Amino acid sequence: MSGLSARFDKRLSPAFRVSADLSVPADGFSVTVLFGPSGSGKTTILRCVAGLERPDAGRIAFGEETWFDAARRVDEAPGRRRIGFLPQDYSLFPHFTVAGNVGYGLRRLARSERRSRVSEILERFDLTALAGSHPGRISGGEQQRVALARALVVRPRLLLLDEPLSALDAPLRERLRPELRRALSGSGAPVLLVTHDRLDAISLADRVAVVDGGQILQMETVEEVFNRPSGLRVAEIVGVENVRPARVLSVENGLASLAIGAVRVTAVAPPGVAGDVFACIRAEEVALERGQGSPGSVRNRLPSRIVALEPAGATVRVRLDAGFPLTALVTRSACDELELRPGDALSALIKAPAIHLVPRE
Amino acid sequence: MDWRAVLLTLRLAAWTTAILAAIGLPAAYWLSSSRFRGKALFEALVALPLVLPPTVLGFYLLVATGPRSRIGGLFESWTGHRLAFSFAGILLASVLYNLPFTIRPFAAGFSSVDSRLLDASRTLGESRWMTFLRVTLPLGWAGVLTGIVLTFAHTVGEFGVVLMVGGSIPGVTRTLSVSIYDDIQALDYAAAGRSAFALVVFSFVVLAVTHALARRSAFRG
Repeated sequence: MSGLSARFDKRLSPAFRVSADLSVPADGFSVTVLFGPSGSGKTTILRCVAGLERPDAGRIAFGEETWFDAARRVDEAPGRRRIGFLPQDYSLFPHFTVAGNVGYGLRRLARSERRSRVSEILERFDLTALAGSHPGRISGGEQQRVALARALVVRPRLLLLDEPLSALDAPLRERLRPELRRALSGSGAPVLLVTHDRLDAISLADRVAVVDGGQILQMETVEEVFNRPSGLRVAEIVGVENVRPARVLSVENGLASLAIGAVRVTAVAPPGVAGDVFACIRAEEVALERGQGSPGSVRNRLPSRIVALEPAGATVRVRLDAGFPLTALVTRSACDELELRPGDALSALIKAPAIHLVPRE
Repeated sequence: MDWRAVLLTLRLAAWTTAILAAIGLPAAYWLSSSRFRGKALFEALVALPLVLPPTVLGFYLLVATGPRSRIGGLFESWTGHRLAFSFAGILLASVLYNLPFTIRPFAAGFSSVDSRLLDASRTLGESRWMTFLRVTLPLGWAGVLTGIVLTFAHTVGEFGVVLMVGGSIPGVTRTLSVSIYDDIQALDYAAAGRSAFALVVFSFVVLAVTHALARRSAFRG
């Protein structure tokens, strides 16, 4: 197959072992996110793929090339894997200028070729004015762009990003999240990205691999993973149970009117939101009501039908069809009081502030 | 002032520094970049001359380099010269005695370079060697400079080991500090005072320049 296929083990301590089994397709741009709590082993997986750490056993291949094979004692140096790597804190060389950092990986090229490649990518990342500055004197967002340009200018076949947004403060992170996906898509190379941030995962990923305790628990599309976690632990990690593609139709007085499929809902609009988004709703934020009820403060009252009831401890997960699949989490006693049965028609109530919109380029 | 002794001292210090820099760069890089079993033992061995009395090292070297010893015999059969009580002999002694003054600052300089920068370099296509040249050395140069200056200055001021292995042969093994000792033995306090003062001034200037350079590198980033 083309693309990355990796299956390896690495023991980090007697009690903790990372066991990865993943593949990343290489037919054009796509983002695979390794998502999990800190200490789950996701960075180790990334570093093994990069060749910066050596697994104890297993095999890592890219297309026809073997990068690592414990049995055949193959271990290609990181520099020979032709990857782009974005370290967590960007790791810009303090003794080189911005242009020097960006051109670092192009030493073997002729001077004129190197110059034109560097100035071309500086232009693309809006860094031309900073070309002569040292990394210590530019902002965090600019550092991120320099690191990205440095990784992309060598035309990597695979891009590896370790927490690309975590070094930035929250407002900047919000702003750069959609920009990052746009910048990455320009390279055309597949991306493997590590993050512990749920919003990073939802807004950047095409596919999500949920990592915990050194294992990849589930690897599927964003929607699959967040709406249908494969187990209790994945559900705990992803936290959100309803993630639906939606379209912002209009924004008025801070409220966005959205279409989730054919259903109209109202959500509190984050600044500048427009176009395609993911609407994220926690299952515990969805209330259920029999009949029409009286109008209250709740903006969204969606006529729904119960598809299935899934008891989970003291709570019951109610799978609904609200024109789109929707999951509600109610207590067992509420479920008994309302006499919920599969097939019943009722209303699902969601407050506008409970619908979180994640911009999606 | 005993100018032959001054010249000999500078020659010994220059050779010692050059040889130790050549050994020290790879050794310190290896020490700072790898983890292996017995590393603590190796580091202790390198640091040993810091605490060992010079007479102890001198004694062992004298025994090891004498014409009837294996090393001394080999050296003599190759070069036709004696190793003990010769310039080569005190050079060997200096190199061994100054190991910690070179390797420890070198290794500290290299260790101070963030390993994530080395990772970044290697993923950008550079080998370990090129990464050393382009990242480790330019960023850890203050440690290298400190090691070189300390080694040179310490060799200039060396006494016990040189005397044990080389004795006091004018122009061959009689370094400045040995000549001070000889002057005092001969009750020539004026000559001893001149040499001693020259050493104080030299040491002070060297240290002042080193600190100034190190400070400049700290402000540069």
